[in-house]
Amino acid sequence: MQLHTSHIKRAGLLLFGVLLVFSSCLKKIEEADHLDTNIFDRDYTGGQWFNIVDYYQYSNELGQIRVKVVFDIPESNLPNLKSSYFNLAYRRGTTELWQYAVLELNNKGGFNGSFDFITNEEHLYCLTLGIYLPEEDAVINYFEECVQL
Amino acid sequence: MITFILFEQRGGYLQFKISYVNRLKGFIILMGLALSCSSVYGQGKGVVRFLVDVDNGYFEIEINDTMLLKRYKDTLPAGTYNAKVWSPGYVTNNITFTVIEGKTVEKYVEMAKTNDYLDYESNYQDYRNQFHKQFTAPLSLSLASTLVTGVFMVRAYTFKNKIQTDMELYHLSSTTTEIDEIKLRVADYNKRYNRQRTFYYIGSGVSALCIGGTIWSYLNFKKNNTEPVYFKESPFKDKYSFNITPYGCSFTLHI
Repeated sequence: MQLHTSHIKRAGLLLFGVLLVFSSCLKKIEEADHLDTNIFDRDYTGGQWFNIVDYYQYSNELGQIRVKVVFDIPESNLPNLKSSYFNLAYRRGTTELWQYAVLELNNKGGFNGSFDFITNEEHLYCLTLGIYLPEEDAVINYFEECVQL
Repeated sequence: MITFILFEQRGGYLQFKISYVNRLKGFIILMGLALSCSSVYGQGKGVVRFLVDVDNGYFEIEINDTMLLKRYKDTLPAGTYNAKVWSPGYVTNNITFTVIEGKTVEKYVEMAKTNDYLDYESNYQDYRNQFHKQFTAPLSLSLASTLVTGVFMVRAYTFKNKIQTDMELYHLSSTTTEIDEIKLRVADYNKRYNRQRTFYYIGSGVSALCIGGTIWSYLNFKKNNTEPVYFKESPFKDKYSFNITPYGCSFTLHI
């Protein structure tokens, strides 16, 4: 086959076009540099992953006045593959030591729970929730939210 | 010359009288001898093979100014022949060969190139060298550059796929230790991906330059160079013609 100038030009332009197309697909992956949105990630930089949905004062079986703070962890804040349980670390106020609880998946695909507070004069009740790592005995990604009665 | 028939009238009868009858008899005998002699030479045939020393593989051999051969072997009646051997670009060579009955003889023919052809070969060599310098070499460089760029591209895509797979795993996982491992892998793949990406972009730039340079160089070559052409007609052209028609075939020798 005779080598025509038009063939050369066409082949050259085609090759250049192919290179150009593929170069547009090889962009920088921004998310790979900022992989920190999973609440179970030690380097989590997102916001509070639970919500206080209710809080009220009530009288328990012993007749004592208590304040119940109800919270939930919505499905949207959880990883796509749900675990059936959630290792929770919690403390009331800032002075109390960490306590641990295991939450079970609710029918909305999230988790929920509640904690009782002893009433105080300020009527300010602060709940801190974190993720407990039993194998390391460590708490990560904890947040505090206070409610005022 | 033979003349005969004398008419003699005798007593009212016409009589043929052949004069030179003895000479006629002698002539008939001579003719018979000649025919028998020629049939003795025609019966014996041998094979001749020509080993013509040319580099183009083509030659024509005119034998005894009567027969044109375009192949290296033929069967001929035994005897000695004169022939002319021609090949494009070579000086016509006069040869003599002998065919022996029942045997194959080989005739080596040494050929010398004409000055025109030698000039053509030299010019053509220069032309080809220039072609290689202005097209083949830049094209090879372009192809090599493009191939290497392609390799970088494939590797970059491989890492990209791995990163995307691991990112999906990251969003699925609810185990911190697993997430730690995934993030280490993603960081490693991302580093390698970015490196391959960089090489790919550099390679693409170099390839584009090489391709552009090749096109420019080739256009320049075409503008400044014309392919030398050598064409020489056979000296035996139009001397022999062989025609085949639906009604028969004929062979003509133009003297």
